[in-house]
Amino acid sequence: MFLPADAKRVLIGRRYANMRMPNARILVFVVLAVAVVIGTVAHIGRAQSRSGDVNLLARLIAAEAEGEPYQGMVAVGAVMLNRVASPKFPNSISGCVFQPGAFESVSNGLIWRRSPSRQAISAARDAMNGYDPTYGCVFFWNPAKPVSGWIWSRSIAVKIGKHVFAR
Amino acid sequence: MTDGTSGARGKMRNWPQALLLVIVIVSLVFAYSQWAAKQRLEVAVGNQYFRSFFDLLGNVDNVRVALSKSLASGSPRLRVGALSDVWREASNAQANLNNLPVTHKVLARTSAFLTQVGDFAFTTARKVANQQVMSEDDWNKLVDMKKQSEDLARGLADMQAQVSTGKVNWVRVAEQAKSEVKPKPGTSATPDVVKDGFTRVDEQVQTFPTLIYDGPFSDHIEQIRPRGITGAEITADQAKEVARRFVPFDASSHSATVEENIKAKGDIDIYRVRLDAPKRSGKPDAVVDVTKKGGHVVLMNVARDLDKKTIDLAESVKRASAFLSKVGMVNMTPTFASEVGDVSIVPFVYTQDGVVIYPDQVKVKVALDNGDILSYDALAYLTSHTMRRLPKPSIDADEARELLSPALTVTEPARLAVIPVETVDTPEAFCWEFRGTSYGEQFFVYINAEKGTEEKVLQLITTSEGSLTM
Repeated sequence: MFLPADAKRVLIGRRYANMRMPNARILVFVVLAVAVVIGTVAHIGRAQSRSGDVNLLARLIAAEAEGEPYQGMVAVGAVMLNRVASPKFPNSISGCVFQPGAFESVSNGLIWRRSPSRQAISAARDAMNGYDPTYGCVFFWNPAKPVSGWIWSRSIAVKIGKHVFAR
Repeated sequence: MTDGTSGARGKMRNWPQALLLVIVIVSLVFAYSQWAAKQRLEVAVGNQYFRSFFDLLGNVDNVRVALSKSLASGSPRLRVGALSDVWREASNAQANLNNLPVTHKVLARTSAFLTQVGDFAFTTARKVANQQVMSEDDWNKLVDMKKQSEDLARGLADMQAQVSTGKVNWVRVAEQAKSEVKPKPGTSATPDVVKDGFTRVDEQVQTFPTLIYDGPFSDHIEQIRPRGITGAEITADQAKEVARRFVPFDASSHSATVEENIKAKGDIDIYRVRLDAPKRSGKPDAVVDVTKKGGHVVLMNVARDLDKKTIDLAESVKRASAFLSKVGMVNMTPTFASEVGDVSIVPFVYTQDGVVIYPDQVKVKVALDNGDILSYDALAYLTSHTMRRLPKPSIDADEARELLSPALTVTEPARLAVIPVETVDTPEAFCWEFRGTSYGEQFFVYINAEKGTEEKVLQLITTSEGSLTM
């Protein structure tokens, strides 16, 4: 509004700068307002967590263990923390989450499409606080789905909901 | 006239063909642009993987060189420098290795080797800085690691010759790694430089013996035997009774089911008792883990929704303390309680003759809406608890205070504490605990009461969700 006309053209394009229709201006305003609101909400969401780790862990739990009992959600979080503590896996939560091919929901982007539920966030916090219903497991899978034969050679320690957990 | 009308009619008759032609051209153009975009993306993704691979090569080479240097340097000063290089390069190598799109099965041992080499180098560097010498055992381990890292570097160099021809398609490598998880009948995986190369490298690393040293990634951590689980074996029915009595509400009408064959680390057999509330009773469900040996409760979790917060942190600590005395845990002192969302987490540690025993820890989660106990975690306590024979401190609090950093202003009187350390022979250290501030931050400093060495410095970090130590 306070920009010279030329700058305005460069910024928003020739076509839109010359718009006379009030509806289109309202549309632009609404789009901007929505963007600001989304940005603010997203920012508040971020500020709530202790650090990025809780958020990332909660997202993975939401993507991998939605519909599981609460204990099953904590268990998936605990597996991630057991991986971080194991020399065989990357030594950070982000390293374990983004290890290529480790999680289908990360490979297909589901982890970013689903925002974590309150339950998933609470499960992530419990896992970070050391609550581990799997007692040190580093693998989990759904036996009803096709998985590689190799994984079955691991010794199964616990079954929670639809998942089995192994060391 | 006639020609004109027939021409116009001809044009009219041809319009479906013309439209079809336009559609074909448009979709060809579209397909090509999509194909070109996909090609560009594949190259971009592939280049990231190439970068990780070549970084890995460099890191492993540097590990090898730094290990040789650590053996060749005569002064502790240079040796500590070389060992620090090993630590940094090995942890970078591990990160780069785990960035590659190869299944975990193929990389696991190589990854463990790199983590342990780095961890061991760090621990040894600290020892050398403290004692100025290296033990024969550590020396031999370093020599072994040097040999092993040479093999690893050679294996990677062989792969590099094939990878750097540029014919490796990383996107295909990633797809094959994935298809191994979901095998499709009738498709056989084509031979693959990357996977075969890493399989060979991993087999070489396999020959490396179990590595036990004073570090967090040492193999002895896996072999810890629980000390606090004592007593006679109980049956599944007895476990149900233990669970019913333990939960913080009346569970006499709950139905109990027991899951057996659960094994915790250190070969602990566990009964998982599920207490399900009768329908419409308004009571919560609970899961209680009871050890087969001795019938100790390891974990308890109560599932229910939370209402508005009505009680504060101090009150929740009182509720947690009351719960612990109800279930017969005595001499427990609350430590750093924190508020996390709608609940509070209250850790308790065992106190023996006024000495705080940090390894013997129990965590209690309290609902802040009405003060109910939501969960109980005694795994750490049960793993480490035993009646310790505490030594007499060979230095007193004032002598220990002399050893503190001049930047630390002590705010509270010193007290004796047992803290967990990562050494193999003695997993605990008997220390003087000092609480103080330095440049506006709060710290806990632990001075070994027997040896007079500074064991640990922990920072107290106050967040919006309570305080925690790092």
